[in-house]
Amino acid sequence: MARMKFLCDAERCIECNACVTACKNEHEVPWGINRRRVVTINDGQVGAEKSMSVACMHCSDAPCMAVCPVDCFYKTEDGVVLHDKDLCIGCGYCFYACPFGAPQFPASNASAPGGQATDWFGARGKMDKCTFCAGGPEENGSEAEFSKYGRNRLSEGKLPLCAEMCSTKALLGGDGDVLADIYRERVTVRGKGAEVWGWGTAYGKPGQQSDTATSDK
Amino acid sequence: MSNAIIVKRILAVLFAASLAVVFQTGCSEPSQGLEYRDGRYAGKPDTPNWQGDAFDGKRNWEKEIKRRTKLQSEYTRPGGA
Repeated sequence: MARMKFLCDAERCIECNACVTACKNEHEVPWGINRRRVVTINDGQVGAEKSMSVACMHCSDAPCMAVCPVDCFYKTEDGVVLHDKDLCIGCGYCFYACPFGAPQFPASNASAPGGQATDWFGARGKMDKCTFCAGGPEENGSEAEFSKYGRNRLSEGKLPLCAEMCSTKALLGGDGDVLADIYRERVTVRGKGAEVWGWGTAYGKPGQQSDTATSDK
Repeated sequence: MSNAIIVKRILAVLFAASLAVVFQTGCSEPSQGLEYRDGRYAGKPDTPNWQGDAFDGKRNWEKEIKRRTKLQSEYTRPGGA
């Protein structure tokens, strides 16, 4: 049985935000909601700047599930954390519990139409979050499922679009065991630290340079 | 001891026990199990991803998902580095 996970390689992410755009486009996510976003730390510091694509990580022990007062969350056989929008009351507890800031709410004081106040209970609307492109409780691939939760790519045998279209393959998605194998192989091949980027990667390592120089003679 | 006092004590014990049950329920966490029973995950109805026209059974769906997951490695996919 597969256990679906995301894995983002900070050494590869180039902060292109294509994953964010792909997600919004695929699911027709409304303005103001970002199911996925790219976080950058040490911005502008050469060598120390790292970016990472973040969304719901579909935790094995999900804090959102633990705190939900109406128990609207559930986990599928594949380990994907989903929720039922018909049960959600928009209380926002999951937002405070989630360490990744994954739960999103359609209305805030800034985005509410006509500048309406949204400081009353439930005014923020039903919570929305990454579904690992697995839809929701409605029938797979139905119009109702799409309008509430977005496209159900998993039922079509496809992986989340954000991961599948990542140009540098920084963002991986799928069976956790396979992802671990891919990442292990990647780290073994490329090494770590200064070997990953910089002069050696661009122009060859010292040994390779001397070989080239010898062959030129 | 009069009957009224005994009844009062029994009622007090029952009230305390029911309060304990209420608090226990309120502070407990819902199950995060992955069981799929009677068309439901933990009480919420949903259809497993492998149930549909696109795939002939769970094994085929898992095989396809694994194949696509492996395609993300440029070291192993055809034409990769």
